[in-house]
Amino acid sequence: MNSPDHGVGWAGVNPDEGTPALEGAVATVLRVGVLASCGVIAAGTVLTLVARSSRDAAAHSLRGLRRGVLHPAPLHFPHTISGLAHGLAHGDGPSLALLGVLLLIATPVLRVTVSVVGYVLERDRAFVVITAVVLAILLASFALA
Amino acid sequence: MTPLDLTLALFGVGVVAGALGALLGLGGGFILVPALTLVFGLNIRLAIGASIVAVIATSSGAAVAYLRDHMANMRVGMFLELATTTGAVSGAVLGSLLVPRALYIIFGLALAQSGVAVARHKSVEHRPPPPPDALADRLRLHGSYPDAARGRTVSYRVSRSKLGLGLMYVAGALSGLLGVGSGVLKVPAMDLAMGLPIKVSTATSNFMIGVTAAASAGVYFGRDDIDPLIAAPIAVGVLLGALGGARMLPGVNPRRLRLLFALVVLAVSVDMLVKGAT
Repeated sequence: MNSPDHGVGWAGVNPDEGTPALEGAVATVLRVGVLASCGVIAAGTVLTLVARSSRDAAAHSLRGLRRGVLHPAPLHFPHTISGLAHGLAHGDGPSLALLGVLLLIATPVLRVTVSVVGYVLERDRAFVVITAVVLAILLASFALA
Repeated sequence: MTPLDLTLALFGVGVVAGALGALLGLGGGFILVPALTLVFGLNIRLAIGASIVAVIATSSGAAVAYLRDHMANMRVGMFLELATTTGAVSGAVLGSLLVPRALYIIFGLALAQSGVAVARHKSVEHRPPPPPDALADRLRLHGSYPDAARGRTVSYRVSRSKLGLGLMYVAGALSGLLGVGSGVLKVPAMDLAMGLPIKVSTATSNFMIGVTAAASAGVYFGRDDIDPLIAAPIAVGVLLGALGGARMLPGVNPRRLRLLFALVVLAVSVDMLVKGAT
C-alpha cells in the first residue's frame, strides 16, 4: 500500500485503482435499495389510483398544491411512524408510497454505513474516519428533523 | 387533470430529468424544480421536496452503473461528502428562513455562473498539469477510467482537494436550499478546480448527490414538504431515465458533453431568473 508521500512529483505516483470489493458491495446496496424502494413506491401509486377513496383524497390534495406558500396543501398522508403503520395495515396507497420514499431516503445512508464497514475491513484509517463523520452528519440531520 | 393524467405526466418529466441528469452528473432537480413550478404550477416548497426524493433515485440508480464501469471515483466522492453533507444541512435550515423569490434568484445566479465557467474552460488534454496536492496523495484520491470514445484507460491526478472541499460546502448548501443535487456546482468543482476529467466528474457527482440529498431530505421530510403522491411517479420515472442515461455516458464525446452541460445550465438559469424577477 502507498505510504504517505512527501513531495512526490507529477510522474511519480501510480494512480490508485480504488477498491473493487468495496465498490461492488456499495453498488449492490444501491441497486437493492433503489429497486426495492421504487417497487414499493410504484405499488403505492397504483394502489392510490385504483382505490377510490384515496384517489379522491389525491385529487383534492393535487388541487391544493397550486395554492402557494401561505396556503399549504391539505395533508393526506401520514406524518408519524404509528400513522404510517396504521395506514399500511389498512392497505392505504399513499402510506405505501410514503414507505417507499422513506426507503429511498434510507438507501444513501445505508451505502455510507457499508462504506464505513468496508474501510474498517481494509484498515484504511483515514477513510474510516471520513465515512464515519459523513454518517454522523446524515444521522444528525434526521435527528434535527 | 385527473390524478392518473398527472401521475403519468410527472412520470414522463421524471424520465427526461433522470436521463439528462445521469449523463450530466446532475440529479435532475435542475429540470424538475422549474418543470414542477413553471409548467405544473406547484408550490415551490413541494416541488423542492419532490425533487430531493427524485435526486436520490437518479443518483443511486446512476451510481450503480458508474461504479460497475469504474467511471466514478469513490474515494474522491466519499472525501468530498464531508463538505456536501455539512453544507446540505446548513442550506436546508437556511431555506426555511428565505422567501421563494430569493430561492429562484439564488438558483438562477448559481446556474449562470457555473454554466459560463464550464463552457469557457479548455478540455483536460490541453490543460497544464495541476499542482501537486499532498492531501490527495495521502488519501490516494488519484485514479483512472475507461474512455470508450477514445478506446483506452485514461489516468488522472487529483489536485486542490482543500479548495474542492470548500466548493463542495457551497454546493451542499445550495442543494439543501433548493432541493437540487447541485451537480451544476459539483461537476465544475471537480472538473475545473480539482482536475478530474469531465466524465469522471459527472459520474462522481452522481455518486455523491444521493448522500447530499439524503442529508437535506430529512429536514424537508420533517417540514412536510415531501408529498409521496407527487414524489412517487417522479422518482420511478427518474430512476428509469437515469439507468438509460448512465448507459450512454462511456460513448459520449467529452467536448460535446461539456457543451451540453453548459447549454442546459444556462437555459435553466435564465428561466429561474425570469421567474424570480417577475
